[in-house]
Amino acid sequence: MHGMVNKKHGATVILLSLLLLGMDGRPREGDELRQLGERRAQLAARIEALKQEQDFLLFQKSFAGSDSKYLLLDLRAGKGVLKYRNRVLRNFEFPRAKKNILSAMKKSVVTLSGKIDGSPRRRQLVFTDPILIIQSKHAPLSSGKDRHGTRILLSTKDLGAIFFAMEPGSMAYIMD
Amino acid sequence: MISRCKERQVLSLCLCASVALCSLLAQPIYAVEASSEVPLELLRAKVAALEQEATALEEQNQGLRQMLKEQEDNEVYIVVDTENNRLTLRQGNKVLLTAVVGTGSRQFIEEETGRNWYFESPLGSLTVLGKERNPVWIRPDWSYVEENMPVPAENDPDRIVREVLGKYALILGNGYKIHGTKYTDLLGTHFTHGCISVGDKDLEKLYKTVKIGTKVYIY
Repeated sequence: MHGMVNKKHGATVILLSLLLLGMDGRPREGDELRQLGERRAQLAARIEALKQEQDFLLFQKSFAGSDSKYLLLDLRAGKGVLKYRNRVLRNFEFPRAKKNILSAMKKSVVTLSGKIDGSPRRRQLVFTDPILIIQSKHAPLSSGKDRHGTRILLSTKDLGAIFFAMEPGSMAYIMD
Repeated sequence: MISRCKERQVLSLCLCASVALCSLLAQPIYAVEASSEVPLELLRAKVAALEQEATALEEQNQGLRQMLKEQEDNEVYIVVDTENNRLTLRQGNKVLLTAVVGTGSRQFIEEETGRNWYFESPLGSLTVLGKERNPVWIRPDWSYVEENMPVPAENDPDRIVREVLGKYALILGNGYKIHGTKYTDLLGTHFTHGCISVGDKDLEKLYKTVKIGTKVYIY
């Protein structure tokens, strides 16, 4: 009988203790903290994505009324577009970039700083900054100190078309 | 026996009381943490600010997207690649026609008087200003100079030449046209005096598809 009473007392006190523990408010605040932390991380990622999208939209907007032709280069997909205002002048393809190149060439705008003319296979378009070189896939391979920057290798026809369409100062948008 | 039971009861009560006391004593410690509302409040404020920033960016991007979309149209346009001698008829991102064409020879001639001509297709953004069936070629001065012939008067009937420009022509202005040619073997090369020469079938499709006002981008 007494044992039963003791057990009842014990159970009551333990339940009371648990109840009291629950009333201190800590678990709910902890939940909120965690939720806020997650939300903050989500929002930060969303804002970053929106900023990148805005960069691209502003880039296109800046060319909407411009007389300069420009390139959109999707290194991941290995696709490029030569555009004038909102018109596509030429689509072209090139070998997809490797992971290390993708990480080095994040979304950015590069400017054509030099055109190296010569035979169709030796023509080069040199963009900065970072350095990006568009050349023929049949061009002799450079190595060592000569091999700076990221290279996009095009068919000689595509390169010929783009080479003469772009002027120093022309821009290319690197898409991620 | 009773005293033993009482003793047990007292002990168990003490044990339970101590558990309860511990849990109560523990509360102020948590309360200190919980009452540290500065980081929580700060976090709430930061999240609210980020929400605002994201909303503002979304609105701005929406406006930009809308603006760019308004500039898009579904109009047909012509693109000429003078390096590779290719003409493309496009509508949005669709390619309606790709044709092998002839473009300016990039050659230079000079008359004894010093007048000179450089035969290059006009680069840039042009517009189809007119459409012609059975176009007539009015021979310009350079045509005579090129063949070492005396240049006739401006309205000399000798200048009128029929059936050399194909069945159709699209007028681009300044004497430049997209037209047919008798020299179909030369399509794909730089052989014209600046006009864009097109084969018969492609020319017919171009003529039927293109309207006056169609944009022509030559690069």
